[in-house]
Amino acid sequence: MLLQAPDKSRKKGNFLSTIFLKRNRNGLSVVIGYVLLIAISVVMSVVVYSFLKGYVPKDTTKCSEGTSIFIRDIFYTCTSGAETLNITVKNNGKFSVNGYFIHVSNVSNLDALATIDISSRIKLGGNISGNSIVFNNLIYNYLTPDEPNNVRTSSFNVTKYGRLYKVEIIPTRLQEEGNKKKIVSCGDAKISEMLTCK
Amino acid sequence: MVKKFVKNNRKTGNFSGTFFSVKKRRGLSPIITTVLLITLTIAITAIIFLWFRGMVGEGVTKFGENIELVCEDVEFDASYSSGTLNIVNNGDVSIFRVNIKTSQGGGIYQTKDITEFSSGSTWPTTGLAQGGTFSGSIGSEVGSPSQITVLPVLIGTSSKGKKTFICEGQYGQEVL
Repeated sequence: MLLQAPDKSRKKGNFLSTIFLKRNRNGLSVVIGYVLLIAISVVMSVVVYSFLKGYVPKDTTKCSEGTSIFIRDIFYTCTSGAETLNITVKNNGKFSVNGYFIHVSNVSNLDALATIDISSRIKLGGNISGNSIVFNNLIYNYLTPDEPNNVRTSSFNVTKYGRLYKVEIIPTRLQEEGNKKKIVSCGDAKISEMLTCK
Repeated sequence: MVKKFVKNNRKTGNFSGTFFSVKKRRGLSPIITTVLLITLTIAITAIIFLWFRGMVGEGVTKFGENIELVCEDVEFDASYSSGTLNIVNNGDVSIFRVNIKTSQGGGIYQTKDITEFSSGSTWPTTGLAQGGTFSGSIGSEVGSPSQITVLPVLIGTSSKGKKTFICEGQYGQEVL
């Protein structure tokens, strides 16, 4: 009778009796074995996943390839006390441009990088946003590759920097990342120009 | 008599009888073995985990990925002339600080954080953001090195909070 109990419960598929009946201990080990195997597999998968998750590169929002602007006209007035820099940029790329970072250099060594940020000195032709110039606050990526909005002139008051020798411009674009718009810097489209007094 | 008792107990699966009775010691082994196996497995797993964690190092992440991968997205220009170091961040990743690695020749290298230089006090506390610039004189403190390399330092998060990470040499720029 006692020996028949496991067979009976197995035939009937009585799970609880298999687990809790002392006389069915042979069946218990199989169930625990499966539970342990599955639990260990799940735990190991979670550990490995959380470890490797950080090593998978994410798609970061970058400036679209083919973004390009060039300086069409530059006018630097270096009359003492009335120094002004007028820059006209034109979009000659494939994508619209939202604005730019602008830096000048007052070092005669032309190899030196331009590190003076003059975005806060804008008078006309754009608005300041952080440390960059935005062509139009209402229209995103205002400077289009096509006419009529493909040229923009901006004017800067550069009185307190002394004689300037170089200007460098890095275009920016407003791109979507998820549901948000994000300003991206187009470092590959950076342009520079020597300045001469007019 | 004893043999019969043990045999009976094993058949009936009398656990308490098997466990506490000295005369039925043969019934102990499967339970003890199981307990020992589990204990040993847990102990060995814990030891391996601690050893492995020490070897791998603490994971620092930025923008949801390992900070080493973010180093690839760092874009900056650097120049050094007349003792002045100029840096412009052209990319979208904020450069928290930079390390200046100088070589005096003969295999002697020295690495210093930008904030260790006197001109480093003008370095922005939150780092060089998009389009940010830095210009500082370091010439008197580095002497006349044969080589200067600028290595970006990023800040990320780890289980212990904010942590800085120095990008490897391949992401640096030789300015001299």
